[in-house]
Amino acid sequence: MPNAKQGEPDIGLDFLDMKLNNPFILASGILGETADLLLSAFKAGAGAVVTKSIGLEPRDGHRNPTIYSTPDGMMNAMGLPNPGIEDFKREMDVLRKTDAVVIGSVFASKPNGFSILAKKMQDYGAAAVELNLSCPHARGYGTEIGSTPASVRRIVKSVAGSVSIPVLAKLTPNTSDICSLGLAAQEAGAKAVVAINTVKAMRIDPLIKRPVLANRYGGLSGSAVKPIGIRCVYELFEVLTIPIIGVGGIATGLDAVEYIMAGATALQIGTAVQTRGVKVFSYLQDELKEFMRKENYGHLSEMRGIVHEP
Amino acid sequence: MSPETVSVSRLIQKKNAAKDCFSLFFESQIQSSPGQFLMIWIPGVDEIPMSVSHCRNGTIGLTVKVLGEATEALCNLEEGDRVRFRGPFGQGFKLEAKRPVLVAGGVGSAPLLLLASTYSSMGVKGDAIIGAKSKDELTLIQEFENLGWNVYIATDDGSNGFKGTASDLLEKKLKVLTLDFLYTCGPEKMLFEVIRIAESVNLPGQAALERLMKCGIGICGSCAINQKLVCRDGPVFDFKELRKISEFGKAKRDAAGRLRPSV
Repeated sequence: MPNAKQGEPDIGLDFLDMKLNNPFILASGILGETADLLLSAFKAGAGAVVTKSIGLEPRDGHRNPTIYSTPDGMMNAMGLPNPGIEDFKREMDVLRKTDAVVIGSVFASKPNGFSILAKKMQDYGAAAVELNLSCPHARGYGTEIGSTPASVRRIVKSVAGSVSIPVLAKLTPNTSDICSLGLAAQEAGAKAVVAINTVKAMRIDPLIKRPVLANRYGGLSGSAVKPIGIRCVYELFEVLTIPIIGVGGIATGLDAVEYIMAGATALQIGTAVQTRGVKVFSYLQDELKEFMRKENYGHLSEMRGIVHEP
Repeated sequence: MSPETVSVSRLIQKKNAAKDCFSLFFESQIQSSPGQFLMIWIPGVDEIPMSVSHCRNGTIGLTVKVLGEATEALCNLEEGDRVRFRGPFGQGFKLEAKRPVLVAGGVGSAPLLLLASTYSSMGVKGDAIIGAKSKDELTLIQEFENLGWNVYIATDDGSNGFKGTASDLLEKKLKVLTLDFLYTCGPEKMLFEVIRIAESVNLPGQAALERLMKCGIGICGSCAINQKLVCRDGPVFDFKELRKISEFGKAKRDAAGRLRPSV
């Protein structure tokens, strides 16, 4: 680590044709439905922002309750509400006039639908497209079509052949073998994988005598899933050559360090935006830099994957 | 949000408050500041945001007008039935006035009643201008009077009090009342008008807004109004903040997140 002690640690990233000021990206589904809110996250310090997952048609999502906070996490079953790709142009047009790095998240039930959406996102000026292959609470979408390598391969291949912007595959942890999903995405042309989406979960209110979410089950996020996310990133790093974006319970700079040491190149932040506010993006940068200063790291790459056996 | 903010309560009393409008009282230890809201889950139906109209001695009161399926189910609850609350959430009213005036439209008087009772307990009383379409839709009038506030009534059809809107009556009363701060809640078109009138005489104030809400805790973005979230940054906003929000009084987002002109 030559010169690491001198000057500020460098946490910038040249990543898939994107220049990121730092590795912290706003995760999909958090404040991502409107341009104004995505911009507020970018201005608060996010290196990039991912939109809410957008589909071909407008969708109201599931009925409330759609959110439940647990002692160390959060469960949601929003049900992919979104204005539809045609209406979302309005928001992307606003973002296009700014310097925000925007990754468009899309969901569909078939490969062709993903391709149509990805092309639209490219036309709208998205820097990359993230494929939602992993939402655990909407019938016919997400995990239901993203939990077999064959299906992941078909979808990624279709999209990668349709757009020139980088294609990111967001993988589900609700599988016995996330590596086979990652390998399928890589072989089909994904430029990176994103791991993990939420973990399928349920809570019951004993006095109301019903599951706490109207959809009955939902996706668990936050600190509770951090060990699962780190394990998934570790396993993916063992088998993949493309970069991994780590997501799942990152709330502090040290959480980020764990993910980076497991093999993550960039990181996404979701639930922590609720617990620490949108300022979490500046806190995370400060905390990450502080750790790097103390431990004599000059660049993120010096930490990446270091816990793996040679 | 910590899990302690979730609580299950039983309905202990239901009182008619106006036409198709009820005050529902629940046994609850929730301490809500005026203007804050609760997410109330009517099991098997829906979970919706509701402002608090009464909060005292282990009882929480909501004043609910039947407007849709969820509010209808809420008003059809019977004593002993259980609901679940999350909250209280959001930023409430500032309690800094010496001589407050309240301007309410319809069931917008609900959060203003908790504000008035809080002020009364601090020894501050003021004026309440309460409007509705017709006399049978005037909500909580008697309760404002019981607190010792001066109540001025406006109805669109003139069936009780001044004939016209609450904002019309405000414009008249501004000439004769001594006031230092205005609070308002009601239909957004009315809020827009009230703020215009207040600002014309440099009267500062706050308004409580309403938007479709899902999470209630500042992450899903359903209640976005420009760069603000009504659940997290509101529901109470300063007039001077609202002036910077171009969607205020003009547009709302639907359940799918589409921006639609306000009707």
